Amino acid sequence: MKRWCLALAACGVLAVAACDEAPASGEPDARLRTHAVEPSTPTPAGLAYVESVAAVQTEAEALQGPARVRALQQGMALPVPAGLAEAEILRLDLAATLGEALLEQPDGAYTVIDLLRPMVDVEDSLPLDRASARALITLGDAAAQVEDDALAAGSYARAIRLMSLLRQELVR
Amino acid sequence: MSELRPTVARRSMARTLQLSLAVVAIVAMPACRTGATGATTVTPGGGDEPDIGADPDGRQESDNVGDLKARLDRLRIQHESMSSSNATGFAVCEDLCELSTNICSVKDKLCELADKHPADDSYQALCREAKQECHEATESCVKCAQNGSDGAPARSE
Repeated sequence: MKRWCLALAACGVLAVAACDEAPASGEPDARLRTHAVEPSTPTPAGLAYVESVAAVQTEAEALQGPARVRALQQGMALPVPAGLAEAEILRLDLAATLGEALLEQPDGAYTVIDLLRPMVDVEDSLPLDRASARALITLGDAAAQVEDDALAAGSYARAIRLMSLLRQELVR
Repeated sequence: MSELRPTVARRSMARTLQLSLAVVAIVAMPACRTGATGATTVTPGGGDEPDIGADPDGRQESDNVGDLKARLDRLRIQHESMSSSNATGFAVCEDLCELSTNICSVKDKLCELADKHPADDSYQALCREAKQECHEATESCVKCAQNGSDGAPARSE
């Protein structure tokens, strides 16, 4: 009897561990870790960065095609001031917008994967924010375009899990 | 005689007219009094006779400017708190419904991919999970919209 209990307990531990284990190669990887972004202490450099990013987004909205892509790329190249926790979200949002613009360009999907994959890596924790979901969906769209079904399905599933967490925060 | 008849008739008519005017004056007097003091406050759900000296909450008040200003301030605060709670509730519902739309739209893309891999359990499991989440998200959006009148988002579980 005791042996059965031990075996069951071991199975339970293994099952929990399996939840956070990388899937077999070629299978969708939907692992998701998130963290809340705490507001940082306002600094002049931080404020200047936020204003610059907002200006880039506004400028890009009025542009189309390669000009829009260039404007957003310039925004991504802006140096991030130290200690600005919100920059993580701003950069993800900017990257998602850039990704959407790139997807409209010929062969843009590969560039989107190169841009977004490292930013929303399965091994890393993502900010619990809509910007992360946007970036994941854009990565999924790019992967689906190049028929990388595992990356697309994994990204979509992670986006849904993240949005589900955001939904639960709202009804709490 | 024939000349008298019109005279009697005129007197009778004059008396009737005087009586009518007196009745009209008596009936009109209370109406003039309320009209002269400005608008009367009718107590919602109150009795047949409005309590002219009471506000809708039943508090007695006079006609002086200070009291009226205090009452206006009370009503303004009441209105602002009701508006802000409704606005918060509406914003939460809007967010919930937007999330629900996005979740269901991504679910469609994910399940389309799962359809390409019918024999792969991992795709099928992710599609099932996405469908469940879409269902729950839609439910919380609908519940929130139904509860919208009191401004409180509905709990999904």
